[in-house]
Amino acid sequence: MENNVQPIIPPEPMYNAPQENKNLGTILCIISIAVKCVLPFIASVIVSATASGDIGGISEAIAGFFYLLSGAGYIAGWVLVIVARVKCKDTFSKVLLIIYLVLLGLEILATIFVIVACVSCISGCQID
Amino acid sequence: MYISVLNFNFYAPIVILSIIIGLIVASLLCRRAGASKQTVIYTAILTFVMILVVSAMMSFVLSGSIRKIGFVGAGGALGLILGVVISGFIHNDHVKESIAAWVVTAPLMYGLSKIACHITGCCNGIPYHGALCVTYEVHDGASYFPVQLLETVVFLLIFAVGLVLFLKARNISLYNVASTVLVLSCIAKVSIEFLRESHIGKIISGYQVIVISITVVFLVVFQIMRRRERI
Repeated sequence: MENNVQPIIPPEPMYNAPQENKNLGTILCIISIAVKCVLPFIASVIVSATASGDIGGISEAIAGFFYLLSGAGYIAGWVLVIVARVKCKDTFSKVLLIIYLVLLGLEILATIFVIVACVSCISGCQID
Repeated sequence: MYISVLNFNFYAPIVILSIIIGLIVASLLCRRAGASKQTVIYTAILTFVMILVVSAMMSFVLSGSIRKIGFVGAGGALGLILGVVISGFIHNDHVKESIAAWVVTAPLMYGLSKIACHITGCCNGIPYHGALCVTYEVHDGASYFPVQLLETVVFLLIFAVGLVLFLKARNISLYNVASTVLVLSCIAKVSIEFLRESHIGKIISGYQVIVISITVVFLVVFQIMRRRERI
């Protein structure tokens, strides 16, 4: 007697990035955080220490070098997270990219507010 | 034209807004040329970031002081082209269309951003008392040539020429469109620099050398990319 039981078809697996891609994406994102956030933090600590006179003998040229290094790191951070997002398509890079975009928006707003605040202060001084 | 107060509050918002307008136009041109949504969005993000960061970095290189960091047009142009070329290598999707669209849009961004310079008086033209002269209260009532307004008009015209060429161009000639707009912008920028007060007493300024260098380097880059696509 033939068995009429229908074979159980397993549901199609959702698309997941291959494990190697995930690992590569995670590594790229960690390097991105390091060069975009940690490097400028260290540079800003050195520059602020220079400005307040805590580190003697460091000229503005060295502070400028750290500034350019931070800028290059900032760009490299963006490039790496976009490469991770495009090539690896993992969740980490997606979340990191959204965080970077939110931070970029806040940085632009902060810059505008600082300029407005400075202009208000200067205008106040001129009136007095 | 009398500009009574230093409206520096408007400077950053106008510059950012002009970049965002250019970004939208470039993205629309890329989409029209057939680039995927992913390519357009990530290219726009990277290019926007690079315009701001490279501009700030170049202002430091030119002024030599971290206290004088601001927006520099040549830095913005360098950031824009670097951003779109790097994006081309990342996505490898409609590279020549993206490069042409962004280079064509660069004069639009620059022309609009010069309105901010005109309002704030952060830079000015040579002393001049003829028609359309600009008088700033902050400069003790001295009259100057309206160099920023001239830049706005000239660069908007270059954008219009570039846009027409872009819409008519096909395939490999898109690199020619980008090169043409780049050369026109370079000639305009270098020529108008002679009408600035800061240029008086100089044969050629460091800024002009930087503009010419950026143009020559990217003309070579575009030719290399063009030959690679032919192979």
